[in-house]
Formats: sequence, structure tokens, C-alpha cells
Amino acid sequence: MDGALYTRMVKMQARSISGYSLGMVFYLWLFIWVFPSFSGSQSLNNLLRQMPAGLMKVLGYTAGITHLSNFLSGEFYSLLYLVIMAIYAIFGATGLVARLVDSRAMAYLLATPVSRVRVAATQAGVLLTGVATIGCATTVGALLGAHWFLRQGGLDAGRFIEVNIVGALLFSVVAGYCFLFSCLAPDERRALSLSAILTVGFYGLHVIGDMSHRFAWMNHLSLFAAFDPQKLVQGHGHFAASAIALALVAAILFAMGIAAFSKRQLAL
Amino acid sequence: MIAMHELTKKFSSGRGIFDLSLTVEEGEVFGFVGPNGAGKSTTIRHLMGFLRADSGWAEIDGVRCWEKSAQVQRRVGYLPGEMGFLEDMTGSQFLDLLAGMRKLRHLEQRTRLMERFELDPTTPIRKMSKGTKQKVGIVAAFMHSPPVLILDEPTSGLDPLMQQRFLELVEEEKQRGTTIFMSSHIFSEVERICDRVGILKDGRLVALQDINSLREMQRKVFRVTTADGLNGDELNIPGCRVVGTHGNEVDIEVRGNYNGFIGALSTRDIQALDMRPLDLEQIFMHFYPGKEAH
Repeated sequence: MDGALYTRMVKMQARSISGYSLGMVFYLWLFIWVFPSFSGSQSLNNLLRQMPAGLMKVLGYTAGITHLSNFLSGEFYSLLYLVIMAIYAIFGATGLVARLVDSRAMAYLLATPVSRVRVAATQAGVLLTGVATIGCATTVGALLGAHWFLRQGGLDAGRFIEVNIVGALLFSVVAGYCFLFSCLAPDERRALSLSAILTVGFYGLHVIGDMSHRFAWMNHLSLFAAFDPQKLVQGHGHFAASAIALALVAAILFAMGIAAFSKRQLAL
Repeated sequence: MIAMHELTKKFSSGRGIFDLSLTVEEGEVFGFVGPNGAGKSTTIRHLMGFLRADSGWAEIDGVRCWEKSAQVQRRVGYLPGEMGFLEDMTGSQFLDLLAGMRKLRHLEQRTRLMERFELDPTTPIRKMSKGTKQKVGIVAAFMHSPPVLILDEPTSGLDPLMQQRFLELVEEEKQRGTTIFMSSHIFSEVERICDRVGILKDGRLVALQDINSLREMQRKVFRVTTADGLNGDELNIPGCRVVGTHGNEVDIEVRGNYNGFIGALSTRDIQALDMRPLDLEQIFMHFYPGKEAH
């Protein structure tokens, strides 16, 4: 890592990271705000119970809408959270390496005595800082939101933090393969397409795998299967195992990206 | 200070650089010229450690450029041929970043350079003109007073006044003993600054000349208008050749022998004398068609 590069890059990314964080907190608060009207509706909960189990799982309401944790894990962490984090990971990773190579700005960074490994590691650090910041903002935002809007609470802070840690680690893996593509791809467009296609593919497999037992095997092919917010809030998830596995895979992917960048031929 | 040995890089298109061998001594200013696509930038990318050679090697101050590129950069200032910046920054932020990455403590040289080139560094880079961006690039390359400068088409984008200031700066660096490797298209620039010139054509070094012998070989075409017309025979002297006549106007190619040329004209009634400079590629490609370096 190089301190000067890290500081400048984080400052450059600050606006985008704050945007994603604020967006995430805004939506969370919206969900928390409307939660009482959902949870108070007996007829809605009855309707949900009559739905096929597969559809319930896709919608994320296996436990009905009686607790804020279930509501958020089903409604927010099953889609919106994934979309916002994925967009940040894909665009962040592409912007930090492939765009700089494409625009030849990387020539200036590599014309300093900071080695390629350190430049790439710094960019990886900036990307992970972004994922961690958005993850932290989401966690703190949700806890504060629940406290302010609901008064009586409704969030099991410990389990909710676990959901967010696994979520942030999942997107460290997504950021990891996007970073690898960013380091390897010949241009920015290719890096962006590869990252987007793989992420949408993983998500598609996850959704189809959840819908029917016939396609359950598809879920095993999806990275998103490693993140089950509903099980985590209900205390049935494998928090430690998931967290360690995701952290390990993320570390391997980032190491591969850094190694690829250090050996790459660059027409800068 | 700079050395290449049989440096070869072949791209899938078949182009590239082939068997480049040359050395640039400490304190020498070396001009690297050739038409577009000849391989000048590819060679420079090898010196900067951006590209790995298929075979052969390049070294700066005894350090291999690909294997130890970060170490090489300690002693090098680089001005890229094609500018790419972190557009979201201001000029100052960009220069601060590079100074930080170089752990540069003394910024007096940077301040002097900004004043010299009348650079306003507070402007965001994306709003800068091409010439202003080039100035930022020049400051970035020179601000740490490196012992080796690698300059790829350094004056492109600069207005004539700034070109002059840049050439003065390079001359000062030359006086200071800086080793300079510079690619250029402009003969007057190369002639003014460089001690030696390498000519690249289709990825091969076709000539390696010191600037004085090149100056002697350089041909210039003069258009002479006389009152009574010139006979080509009168200029049938070594180093002069009539290349065209249009009425009373005669185009004479002169190579080195200016005394003979002036002497032959001195008895005539000359009404006008114009010099048509040839651009660098015409000069070099005329002299070295397919000839190997020696």
C-alpha cells in the first residue's frame, strides 16, 4: 500500500462512497418507516402464509412479517442491498484499475518508484474501504433508524451486525473478482461487462435455485447462496463459517488480481 | 546510463521493434526519431518497464527496466507521448499525489517550473487545454530533478513560446549533466538539443548518427530566382544538385557545401532566395532507405 495514493484515491471515491452509503440508509429508513403498517396487517400475513414455500423464499418471508429483522432481511437484504452493493463493487473495481489503464493515467502512477504490486494493492485497499464503509453505514443507519422510528426496537443488534458482516464479506468477494477482471481485461468496457455478466449470472442462479426444488442445485453454483440473511437473523445461519470462507475467497481473488497486474503488459 | 541489447517485441499485427541495440552515455542527449508507427513509443514503454521484451533487454543505470521497474523509476522523469490524467483532480492535487508517491520533500523545483510555464494548477485537469495538460506533464517529469529524463514527443501541444521555454529547460538540464532520451518529429528541436540521433523505421534502428555528421548530411532545398535564369551546370559542384527548374526559378538541393553554393551564386543577379526546409522524415528516409545501422 502507498499512503499518498491511498489518501488521494479515497478522497476521489469519497463522493461516490457517500452516495451509495446515503442511498442505502435512505432506503433502509424508508423500509423501517413503513414496517409498522406491514407488521400490523393480519390479512397480509395470512396471505403470505398461503403462498407456495418457494415463492415465499424468493420474496424472503419465510417467517412472515412480524419482526423488523425478518422484514428487512426479506425485503431489503434480498434485493436492494444486493443491487446497490453490486453496482458499487462493479463500477468501483473497474474505475480503480481498468479505467486508469484505458485512459493512460496509470502511466503516471507507474512512473513513480511505487511498484506495480503496491499500486494494485493500494487500489484494492481503496475498493475494500468502500465496501466496508457502505457496510458500516448500512449497519449503523439501520440500528439508528430502528431506534428512532420504532422506539420499541425490533432489531436484534448482534444478529443484524452478523448479517451485515457476511453481506460486506460477500461483496468483498464480488469486488475481488471484479478487481481481477479490472486488472486483466484489455479495456474498461470488457472489464465492466465481465464483472456485470458474472454478477447478474450469480444472482439469476440464486433466484431460480430458490424458486423450485427442481432447480435447487442452481443455488449451489451461485455465490449469493453464501449469504442467507433470513437464516442469519433467525440464528440458523453459519455465521463464522460463511464469514471465514468469504474472507478467504476474497483474499485469494484480490491476490490474483494484484499478481496479474504486476505481470501485465501495459501499452501506456 | 541507458542501454538496450537486441531488444525485440513483436505484436500480433507483425509490427513491433526488432533487435534494437544502443547505449546512451551519462550526460548525453539522445534523439529518437522516425515516422509514426516506427516503434518509438514501444521502445520507450520498454524503458519504463510497462512492456516486457520477447527477447533482449533494456537497462537504466545498470538496472533492468522490466524486472526492477520501480527501482528504475527512482532515477527517471517521464513525459508520456499520449497524455492521460486523473481528470477529477486539479493540477495541484495531481502533482501532490506524484510528489507524495515519490516521497518528495523539496518542492521548490516544482514551484519554479510552474512559474516558468505559467501553469495555474488550481484548475481541474478535465477543464485544461491540451497544452496546459502538457505543462502539468512537464512539471511532473522534471519536478524531482531526475538524473535521467525520458521524453516522448515533449513539445506536442505547446504553443511556440512554451516550446521555446521547454527547449531552454532541456538545455539547462543538459548543462546539469542530465541524461536525456527524447523522441521527436521536429528536426530543429532535435538539432538544437541532441548530441546523437537514432533513426527508427519499421521497428528497426536504421541509423545512429552524431548530430554534427547528421547536420552535414542534411539536405536543404533552396529556390533561387535569378534575372537571367541559371544553367544547371554552374551548380555542378560537390554537395549541390539541381532538382527542378520553373522559368527563372531553380530548386537546388544543398548538402553541407554551403560555401560552394554561395560561391557559385555570387556572380549572378539574384532576385530572391528561399529555403524550403524538409521535415525530419523526408530527410532521414531519403538518406537511409533500408540501410542498416552500424
